[in-house]
Amino acid sequence: MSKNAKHFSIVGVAIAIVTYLVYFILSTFFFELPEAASAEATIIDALFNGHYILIAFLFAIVVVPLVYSIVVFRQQEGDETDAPHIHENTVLEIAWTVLPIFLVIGFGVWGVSSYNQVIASEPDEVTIRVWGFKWDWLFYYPEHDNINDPALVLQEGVPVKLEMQSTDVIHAFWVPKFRVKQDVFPYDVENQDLNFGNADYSPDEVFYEPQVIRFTPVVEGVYRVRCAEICGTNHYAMLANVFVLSPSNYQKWLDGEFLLPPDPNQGNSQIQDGVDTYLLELERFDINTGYTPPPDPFAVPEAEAGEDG
Amino acid sequence: MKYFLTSALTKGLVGQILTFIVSYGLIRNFRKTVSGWEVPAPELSGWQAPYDEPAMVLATIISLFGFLLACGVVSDWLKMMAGQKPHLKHGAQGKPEWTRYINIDVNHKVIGIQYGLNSIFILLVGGLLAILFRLELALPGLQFLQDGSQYNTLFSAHGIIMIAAIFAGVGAMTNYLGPVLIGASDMSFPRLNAFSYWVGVPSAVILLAGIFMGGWDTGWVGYPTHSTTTQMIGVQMFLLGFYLNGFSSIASGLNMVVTAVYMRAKGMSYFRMPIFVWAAVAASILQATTTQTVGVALTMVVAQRTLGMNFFTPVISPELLAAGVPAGDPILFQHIFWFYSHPAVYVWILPGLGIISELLPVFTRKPLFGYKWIALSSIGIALVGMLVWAHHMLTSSMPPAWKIPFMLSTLLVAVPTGVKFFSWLATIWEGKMRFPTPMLFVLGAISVFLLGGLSGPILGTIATDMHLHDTYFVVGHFHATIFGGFVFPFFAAIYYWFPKITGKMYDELLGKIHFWIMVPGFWVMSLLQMRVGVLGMRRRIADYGSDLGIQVEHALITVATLAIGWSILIMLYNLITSARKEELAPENPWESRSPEFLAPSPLPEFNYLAPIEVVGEPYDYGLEGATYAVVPTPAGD
Ligand code: HEM
Ligand SMILES: [Cu+2]
Ligand SMILES: [Cu+2]
Repeated sequence: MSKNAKHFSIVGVAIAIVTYLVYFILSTFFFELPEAASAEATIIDALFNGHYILIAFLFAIVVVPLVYSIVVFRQQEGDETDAPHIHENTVLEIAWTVLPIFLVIGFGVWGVSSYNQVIASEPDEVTIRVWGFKWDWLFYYPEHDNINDPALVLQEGVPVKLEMQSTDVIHAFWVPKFRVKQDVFPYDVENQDLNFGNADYSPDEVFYEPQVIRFTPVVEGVYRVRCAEICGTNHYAMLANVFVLSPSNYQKWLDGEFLLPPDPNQGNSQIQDGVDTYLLELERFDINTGYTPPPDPFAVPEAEAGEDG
Repeated sequence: MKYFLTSALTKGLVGQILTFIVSYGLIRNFRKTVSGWEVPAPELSGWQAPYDEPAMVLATIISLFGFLLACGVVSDWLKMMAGQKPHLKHGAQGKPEWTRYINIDVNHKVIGIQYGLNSIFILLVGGLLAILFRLELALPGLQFLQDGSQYNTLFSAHGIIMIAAIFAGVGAMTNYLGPVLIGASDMSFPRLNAFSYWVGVPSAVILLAGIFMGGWDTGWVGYPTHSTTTQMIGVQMFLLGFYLNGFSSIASGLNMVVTAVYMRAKGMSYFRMPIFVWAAVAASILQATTTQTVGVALTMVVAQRTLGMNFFTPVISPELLAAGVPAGDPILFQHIFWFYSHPAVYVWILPGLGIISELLPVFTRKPLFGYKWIALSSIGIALVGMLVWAHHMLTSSMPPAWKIPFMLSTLLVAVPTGVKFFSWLATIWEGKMRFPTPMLFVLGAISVFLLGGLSGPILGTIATDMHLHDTYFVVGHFHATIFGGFVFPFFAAIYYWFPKITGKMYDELLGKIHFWIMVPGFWVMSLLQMRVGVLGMRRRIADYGSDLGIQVEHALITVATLAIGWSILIMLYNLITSARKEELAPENPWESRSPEFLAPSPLPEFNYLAPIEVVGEPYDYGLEGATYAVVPTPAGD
């Protein structure tokens, strides 16, 4: 018995150490999440953190006794006898069936409440309509005369509600730094020729309910929508830029004074050189001042002429 | 060569190809002459070819019958219908022994080996495809593939081909081991057993042909409305091959359940069956009862594509609505598909977990801890597994209130899975462990299955799955469950029973090299897959862009994949050379208490020379004088 007590105390201490180490590795480096750029990301990341603790603990209580047995109890040189005949222990078995149920209930409750917070609507949210199609995105701003843009432009700190639909197959809206993802279901495959500029667009025409996703962007910057549901040839390149602007720049953008880079995927072109094409467009973009178009190649480049001389 | 050309395999393949060509030609020309219809040239891309799609579908279905009739697996049944009483043929029919493996044979061990060879062959094909697209992904940008369609065909084919390989591997383990472990001479329905194997061959051919006949880009899930509208018409071959494989599953599942119920040796009560049999029965119940639903889902897609029946397209065109055409719903497919396909993942892992439980006592020299709990946890996993299907749809258009019950049932799977882990640990604790290759693979399997299990709950809570769904995190998760629950236990079983199957011993050093390359290689691969998924790498993409900062990880994943590929070649070399050597293996190399080691190796045609009798518990290692099974000496001896 005292021998067993020794084994158990070593294992117990090792479990505590390994739990901490694994948790440390997961949360600070290995499974470190991308920047949290939405209010929802904070809620979701807390749940992620809870899961990391759980993973670290469960990893330790399995791996430590396993490795300990391999090192300590393994067959010794020349010992051909069998091990002790221990084949059941009802108390233990009931314990490891019942105790995990409490963990399940705990994570179940946390899971429900975090989900409810993530999908909750805000009173002052702005609605934007989103069309996904092979293989690009288009965003409508009904509160601003239905202007539309191939990029998603948001105002820092203002909650948005996206009403999303697809014209062909299932796509999925995902911005990793906002964490949230929602599949975009098709509503009218017969009628591929949607008039995207149609200002009379009304939700009553829609037979299939739009898919809704809500979030509040909280950090100014450039992000990327990545289609997350396989949708055919150029699925990998079905991207769109997201610009989260400060309130003053957002107003300027509405007034046409804040320029955005051209969408590399516009007109459904094939992105033959891979998705890095998107990065090239951003080289001349600054989140504070907007996009500077490249100089007209036929104009006399004054600055350069000066440098030469 | 002569035997090869006249084998059932060759006849079946020739029959399948000929019936396909002839019926495709006839149907196509019929359509052309009767309706003046011309094959419209689709937008060609990648490996697409302009086939007449409806003719291709019909010809493919007919080609299955071509295979079955030509190879002869149904001829006994045809004779029975004609009123004859054909006898079961045993043995090689005067040909060399090896020809049994390429001919119709009703012996469960031959069928088990056939499944095994088939599984390894398909694994190699699927693995080759994986290596191809891993090379493409090693660097950002498109390297050697021309466009996304080629990439999509590669990963889609990889997925479903690997799944076919897993089903064949499960068939190998249950068919070879099931009857032997319960002391039976064969399965309950030997002809049905042969049919289950042989129907899998033409379906694998159809899946492989799909790569070249148009390719497809739907993944193995084939969600409408993408699968109903894609121009890559190889999708039809995928749907049909997947569908036809289901016959194999249903028939072999039924067969195994009946065998376990009716064919057990004298004295073998249910709770004295070797633990693997429990796992095989749980998997078989799932196979026999849920495969039908995926059949329905796949048929509906074929019907929508070929016959224009609208199940999945939400039409709103007012004229059509007025004309009474109801709108379809794409989510319908996802429900029926996952109602089968979640239980299917348990069909893949339960037998492997059974192998782990079966081998641990032998190599720890201790009884299996909590036999009854492990046995019942297999049934528990199977039952809970039927209630969780919509956790694959946590970001779909399903209403939020429906997602929550599926989140809770998914978390509940952790309970019976936990029972298995803790019982294994209690078996290992104080065990006098020995580490030959099969035991190494058992331990490797436990460690890898742990990775898979631990990454499950985080996918089950909706808020975290909103980030992780359809990313490489999921790819890492399910590869870990499948390698830990199927691939590594399958390899452990191959090494462990190799002396029983061939009568020779494998090479221990090569076995250990295989292990020490493959298991660490797999850890690297799957952990890094999870990492890039957390960082934003989507599933099923041909190019990821350098802005995610995951190039180093991707390069390492590719290196690990190549290492895994090489280690498999080492295993094949080991098994082939060892089977050919002269020296015989010891009678009971593992000092196992299991009944199959009471019989000679390789096992005789009917397994045991006389019916065995069970007189004790299966895993009483360390109990003085305990016996599990005895072969009663025939009277008068
Ligand atoms: C036990 C053996 C298991 C196997 C063989 C397995 C297999 C798989 C496979 C193949 C997928 C990917 C499906 C696809 O989208 O193509 C998957 C996804 C998933 N698995 Fe498992 N799994 C297992 C255990 C678990 C456990 C224990 C949990 C949770 C407690 C779990 C939760 C999930 C969830 C939630 C998804 C969907 C994730 C997503 O698509 O976002 N799985 N699993
Ligand atoms: Cu898409
Ligand atoms: Cu599932």
